[in-house]
Amino acid sequence: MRHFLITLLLVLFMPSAQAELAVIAHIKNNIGVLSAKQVQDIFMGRTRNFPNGRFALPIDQSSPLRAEFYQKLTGRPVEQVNAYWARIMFTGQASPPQQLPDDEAVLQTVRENEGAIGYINQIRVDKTVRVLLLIN
Amino acid sequence: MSSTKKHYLYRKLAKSVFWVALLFSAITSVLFFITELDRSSEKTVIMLNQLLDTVESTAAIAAYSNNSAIGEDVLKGLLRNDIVHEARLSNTQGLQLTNARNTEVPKQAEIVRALASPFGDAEVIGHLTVIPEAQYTLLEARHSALFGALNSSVLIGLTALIVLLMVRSSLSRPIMKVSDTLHAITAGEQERLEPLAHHQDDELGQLVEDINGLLNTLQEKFKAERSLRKEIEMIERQLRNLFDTTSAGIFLLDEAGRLLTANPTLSKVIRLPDLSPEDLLGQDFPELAFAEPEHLRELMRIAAGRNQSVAQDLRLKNSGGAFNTWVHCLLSRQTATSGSVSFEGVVYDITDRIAAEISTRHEADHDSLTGLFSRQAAERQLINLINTQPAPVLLLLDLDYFKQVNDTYGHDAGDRVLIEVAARFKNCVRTSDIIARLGGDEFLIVLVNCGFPEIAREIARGIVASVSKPIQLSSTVSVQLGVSIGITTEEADLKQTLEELYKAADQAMYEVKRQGRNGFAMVMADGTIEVEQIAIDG
Repeated sequence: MRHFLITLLLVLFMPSAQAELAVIAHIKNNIGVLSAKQVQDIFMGRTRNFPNGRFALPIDQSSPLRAEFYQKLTGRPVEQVNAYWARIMFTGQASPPQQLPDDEAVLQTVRENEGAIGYINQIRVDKTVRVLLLIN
Repeated sequence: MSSTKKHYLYRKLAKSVFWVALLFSAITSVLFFITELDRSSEKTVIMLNQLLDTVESTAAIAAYSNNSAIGEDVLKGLLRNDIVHEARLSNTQGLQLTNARNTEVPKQAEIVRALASPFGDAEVIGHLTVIPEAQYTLLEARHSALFGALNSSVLIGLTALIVLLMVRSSLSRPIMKVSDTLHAITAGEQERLEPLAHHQDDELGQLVEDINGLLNTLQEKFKAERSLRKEIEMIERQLRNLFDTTSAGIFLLDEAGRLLTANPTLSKVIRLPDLSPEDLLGQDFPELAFAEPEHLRELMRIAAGRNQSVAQDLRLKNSGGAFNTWVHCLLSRQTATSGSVSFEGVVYDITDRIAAEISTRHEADHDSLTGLFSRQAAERQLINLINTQPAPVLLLLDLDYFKQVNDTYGHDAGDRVLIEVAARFKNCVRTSDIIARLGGDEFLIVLVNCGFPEIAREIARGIVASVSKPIQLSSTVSVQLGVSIGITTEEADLKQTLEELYKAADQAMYEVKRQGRNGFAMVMADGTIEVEQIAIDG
């Protein structure tokens, strides 16, 4: 019984607790690094451009990583972020970032779009994308 | 009850209670309004803050996402509240939204809420501003104040009404009842106030008791007064009766002797019966009534100087045709409190008494046979004359041969001789001289104011001559007498007493008798006696 509970906890929290997230962009994106606030502004729809003025396309995930990402980025639970988007969407003036199923899909999209910005587990980062920010 | 409009106390009270209540109501309303205005604006601020709390997160999202649609929504929502006049939303990215009511109101203090980013920490990303609706606050306050005023007015009005009714029923009514009963009561009557029901032990009960006590005292006083008045009236009537019907004249004089009061009898007493008491008033009484007014004036002077009454017999001016009329007058001074002096007096008729007195004195003073003065009367007059200047001359006379006439012809003849001799004496002296019969055939003649002895001699000679003439007793019988006279003259000592004068005259007379009668002898200043015999015809 005790072993079971420990195992369950490990299963539940290991990935998020252990995961270190990387915000990635196209390899040709040369803006260097971004602050957490700048990343937040882009993902929350506050701005549509990178600091250098180029168009930014935020890519979201529908994986469990999403909750961890927003928690760590905004300090707020993901439900609040959802509610925020729900209100924005109701006005019809904006919509939340497109959601992709997993890290692989995100990587693929980022590689193909010069303005794209997404987040993946750090361990999946390779040389084909540029890391703008590391979140843990 | 007076015909003028009556001012009821309780109405007055009601009026004052009403005005005071109105004033209080107004004051409380104003105070209420002011505090309510304060409270209302405070409440508005609280409510606005609560409203801001409600929309803050949405507004923050609008500001954060620069989303004007949400912002407009928020502002619209805010404006749905009556207490919001204007709402503004702005953010750091240049969003400026405003929504306002188009009412004209005085500028109110705005409430600004800083909007923090919904993500991230204390970063301020915009401001939400609201301006309270002053009209609303005012309305609210006014409503509250009005309600309060109405409330207090009703309460105060009700209280006033209750007080009024209480005062009216438990004070005004009983007092009116007492007052009405009092109006109907005549002072000094047996009637009394009835005790008020339910008020026996309170102030009104005591008032009624006190009034009854007062009425009792009043009645007793009235009774005493009435009996006293009756007594006084009776005495007054008796006195008035006495004053009117008395046989004495009663009067009051002022200081100068003018009549101030007179009773009806006075005019009769002073023998002026045609004058009424009214006619007498103001007249000068001494001059009006008396033969010698100065006597009464003198009496008044004496009375003024004394504290007791003075009296004198006074002769009246108006005798009414009869002989002298006399009144006895009693006079006493009266000093009024003002200091003025008056005289009250009584006069009554004493004419009869005086007449009786005069006749009595005449009898005593005169010899009933000859009508000459008696010895006492003569001596009385002589005493008064002794010290006068010149001194009186005394003639002491003794008839010669009278005893023989008496013995021969009887006492009746003697009497007739005496009467005749007396008549002859009278013819020989002056009217002012005094002739007295001292007793038997002895006479005294006093010559008043006889300055010269020669006059006395002359008179003496005349007397001797006159007496020696025959006296006719009947148609057939006549007698002849003589007289011896002793005379004291002024040469005699003036300090001599009556007795000594008599004695001297007596000695002189005996000297005449001794030397042969029918003559006179005079006592000289040196004490010698000078005799003069007179030859008798016959």
